[in-house]
Amino acid sequence: MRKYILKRIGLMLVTGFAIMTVLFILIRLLPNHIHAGIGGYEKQLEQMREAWGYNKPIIVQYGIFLKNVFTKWDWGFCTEVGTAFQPVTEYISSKFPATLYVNVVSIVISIPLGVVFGILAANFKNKWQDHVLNVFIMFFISVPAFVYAFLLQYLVGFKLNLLPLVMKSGTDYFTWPMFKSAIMPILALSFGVIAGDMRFVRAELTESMTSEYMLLARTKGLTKRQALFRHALRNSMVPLLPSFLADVIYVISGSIIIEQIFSVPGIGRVFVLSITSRDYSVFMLISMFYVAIDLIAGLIFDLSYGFIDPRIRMGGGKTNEY
Amino acid sequence: MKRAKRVVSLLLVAAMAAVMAAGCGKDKDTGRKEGNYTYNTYIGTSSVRTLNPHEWELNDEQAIQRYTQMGFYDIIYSKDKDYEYICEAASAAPVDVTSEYAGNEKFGVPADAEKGYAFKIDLRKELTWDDGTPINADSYIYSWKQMLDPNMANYRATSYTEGTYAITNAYEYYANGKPQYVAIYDADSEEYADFEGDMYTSVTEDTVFFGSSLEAAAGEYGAEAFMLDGVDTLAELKKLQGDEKWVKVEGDVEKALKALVDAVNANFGMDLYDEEILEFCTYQEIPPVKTWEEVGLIKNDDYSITMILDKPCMSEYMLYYGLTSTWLVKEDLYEANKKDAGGLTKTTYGTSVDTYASCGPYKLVGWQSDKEIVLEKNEKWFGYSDEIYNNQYQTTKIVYNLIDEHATVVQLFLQGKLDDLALNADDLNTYATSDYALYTPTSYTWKVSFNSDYDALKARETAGVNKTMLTYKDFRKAFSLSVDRSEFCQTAYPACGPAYGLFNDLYVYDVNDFSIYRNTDYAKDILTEVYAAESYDKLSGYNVEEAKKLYKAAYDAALEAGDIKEGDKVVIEFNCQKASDTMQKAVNFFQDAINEATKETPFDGKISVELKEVDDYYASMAAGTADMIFSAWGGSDMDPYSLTQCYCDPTLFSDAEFGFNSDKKVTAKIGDKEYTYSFYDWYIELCEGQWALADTETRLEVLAAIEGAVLDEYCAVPIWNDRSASLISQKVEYITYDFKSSYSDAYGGLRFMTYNYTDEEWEKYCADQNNQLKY
Repeated sequence: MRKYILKRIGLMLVTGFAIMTVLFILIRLLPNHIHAGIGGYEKQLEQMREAWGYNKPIIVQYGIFLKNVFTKWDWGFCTEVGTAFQPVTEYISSKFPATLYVNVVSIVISIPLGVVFGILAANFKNKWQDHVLNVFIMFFISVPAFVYAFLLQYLVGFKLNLLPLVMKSGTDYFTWPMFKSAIMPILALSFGVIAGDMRFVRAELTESMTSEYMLLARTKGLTKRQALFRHALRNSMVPLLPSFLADVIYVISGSIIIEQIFSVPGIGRVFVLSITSRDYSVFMLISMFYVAIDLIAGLIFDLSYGFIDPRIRMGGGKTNEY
Repeated sequence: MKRAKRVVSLLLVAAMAAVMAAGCGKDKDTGRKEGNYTYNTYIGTSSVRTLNPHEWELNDEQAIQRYTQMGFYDIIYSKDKDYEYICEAASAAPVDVTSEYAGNEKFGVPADAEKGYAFKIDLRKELTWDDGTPINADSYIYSWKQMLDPNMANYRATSYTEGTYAITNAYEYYANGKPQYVAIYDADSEEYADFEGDMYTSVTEDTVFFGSSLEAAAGEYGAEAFMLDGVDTLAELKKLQGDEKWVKVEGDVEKALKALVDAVNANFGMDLYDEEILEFCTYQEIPPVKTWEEVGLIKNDDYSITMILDKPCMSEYMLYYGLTSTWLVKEDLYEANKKDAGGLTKTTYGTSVDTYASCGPYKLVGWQSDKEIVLEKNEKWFGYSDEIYNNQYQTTKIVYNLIDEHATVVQLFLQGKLDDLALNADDLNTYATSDYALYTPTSYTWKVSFNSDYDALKARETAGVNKTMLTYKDFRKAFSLSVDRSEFCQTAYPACGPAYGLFNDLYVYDVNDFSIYRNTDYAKDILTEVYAAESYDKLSGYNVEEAKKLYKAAYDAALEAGDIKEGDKVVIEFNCQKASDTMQKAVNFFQDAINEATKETPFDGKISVELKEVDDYYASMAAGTADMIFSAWGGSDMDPYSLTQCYCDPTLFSDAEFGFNSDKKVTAKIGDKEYTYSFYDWYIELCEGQWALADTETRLEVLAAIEGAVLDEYCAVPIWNDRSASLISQKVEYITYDFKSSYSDAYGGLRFMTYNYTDEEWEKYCADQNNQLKY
């Protein structure tokens, strides 16, 4: 198991490095639009560019970039967003909390809800409860997140005046006013995930519940609920895990637009801004943040297979290696 | 009777009590009701990066500084006049002390100078920072010195080293003996500098030919613009330049530069001479080093300073205008936040609440990056206890919400959570006639710009598709007369008004009495003449019958010249960055207008306008690959004369009206005499030549003549005058709704803004309206 974990971590690092390399090269191939002001930043810009090797071949630039990142955790300087020449890490770190807050709460809420509703739908298959939930699934899967973000904002926030239209300012994340102001962006990010998981769980459970081992469990005297939770659900979780990874990616990528709509001061909004204003260092760091999240989430879900289903053994050259 | 007296007495007492009760809660000086008055506004994210007066770049940064800093003076709303000067950080009007410095060699003031060079400014002793630290002449001198510090290379230093308000010797002090690379060719005078020493060129720095760096030109026109026989001449030159900013033109560099010019000749269809190669070159100039003592900023005493300008400022208005801004910084914070960066010393002053100090009517109390900026009343500000500020600054708190999404902004405004809303074209469908709509003119005149270059258009013709009709003036004029500009504005740009001339109603030819050029007889007569209108009042620029005649005449002429064949279609490619709804509406309108005007002419149903998205449509026009674009000139609204450069100088207009021949000789009568010059020379004569210092009447006559001549070419066809539209909240009132560009703040600004509700009343009012206000 340890060997497998190390191997997975190694692969993750190689993948991350490969993505970073490709990103860096592609970015540096774009026209360099860092502008000098009316003489103000000219010298500083020149020095910064010099320090970062902007005038050298790309491979040398990449070497300097890697050295700066791994020895000084220096990802470059802001040119278009943040304060001019502010270290990118300093600027971005002030944006993380809002993004993490919205994304983590969304994931924490939506995955269990998706599973619970999926169980309900499977349990009440072809009954009215199932039909209602299916309508929910169809709507939220087929409509992009930003559409119901706007709908939520207009109907719940504006027309019904139940929730604030935008996220509150400040860093008091663990207060009710802040949570209340974040409900709509969280919901907008969660609906798609809940619907997706619900559909998946329902399909998996429906299949499991008609399988022979369930029949055996029932004949042994287990109630339907006991059989469902002790056997069917556990077996259904294995194929579900990759979909949780997809959920994480869905939420993170969805938040790029959602943050803009609900004025969440997070990195999603800055990411869009860094692209439109061509602030490449900011773009690079945020991209790598997203890549890292995705890779780490993938690793965690991969490793958790073994805990969910003991039959799955990783590493050691076993024949049943998954 | 006695009883009646008692009743009267009781009534009087009751009335007095009622009056006193009503008086309670009112500010005793202003008569305003006491309470909290918050102004909630919004700006885009990343639109405020620093409030450091030495480094700010963006408009919103300046707007916040206007409330938290104090200029020496301000130009404010006046009930009876066009404007009024008010002393702010200064305690009295500036005193012209030029005569005291006349002939002073250290400051370079001419011996015969009598006024306009040196101004003494007495400072207000009550001015302090928001923590109570006093501000005196030393504070100003320190701040000035920091701003011009060559080792800090501050962004705003050029405000006082160049231009109207350049301080004498400030440029030399700032340059600190560092070589300056000066263009050999002066595009304004069309002359080559007489210099000694070497020539330099650069791929990465701006040179005259493209008006930008060669690298930027490659980004604009594509790398292929510099390819010659499979060789990338730009890359070759860049290789030779290496890490240097400028490289000496000699040996291989000279060869590489010549190859690059050959590539430009081949790819742009030009024929540059050896002399024109100098347009890619500079020469080195090393300004003399000046010490701080030689810079024209003098401390007279603890509360008085004198500033000596490099060039005289003769206009009172312009002097006050220049002194509305400030460069003041708080020394301890400025120094504490200094750090070395990229070989320079920079400061993070003004980038957070902790690193910023206020001395204006408001202080910075909250700043969450990309989310919110909060200003509150600065209780240490002298103005709150000064009578001259009575009835000003009722606002107690200003909140800037940083929001990007327009739909979100609209809903917040309608909920009463924002107090202004910039309207876009869609909003105007709903709110154009609202009582709360405010239309603010800008100086920009939008025009249709035509490509009239025969070769460029011919090269893009295909079988049965004609483009060279655009080279016929009658054709372009016919288009102009086909367009009902008022109708066009209502269709595509409802906030804007129709434009007929190059200058709109904002252009002031005399700042002392704010006389508007467009209101002069010269300006009116020239438009009446160009559009062949009965009178200026009846001017519409729309004449379908005349347009039909011109379309037919253009067709006949083209047919005879062999430029069009019967059955050919004219396809006009309209380039824009984004084919938005508005742009589509505009093009559809043009199409309908052309269809209407070409009925029963040989062009009936044969002209089509096609919208094409191009990332940089100005570049495509400059390369001759667009037929038609929208373009605009504006700004410089206190000096309409200099704006003629935009229409006459090919280095400026060629991005918009490709093919317009500025060498064409134009004859006009000025006074009793006829003059013939090229367009460019008309501009030069007006701004730098024989009419530069002429009397106002003559200059106006020349200005009108140039405007008429440019319009008469129909390469630039004015369509609409830009106006921004906004809604203001029911909560607030401006002191005036009459827009005057003379005020520092439109409509008197927040300084004179009054409130119809306190915050608590407003919240209740909005709740009563179910948080959905009607505008």
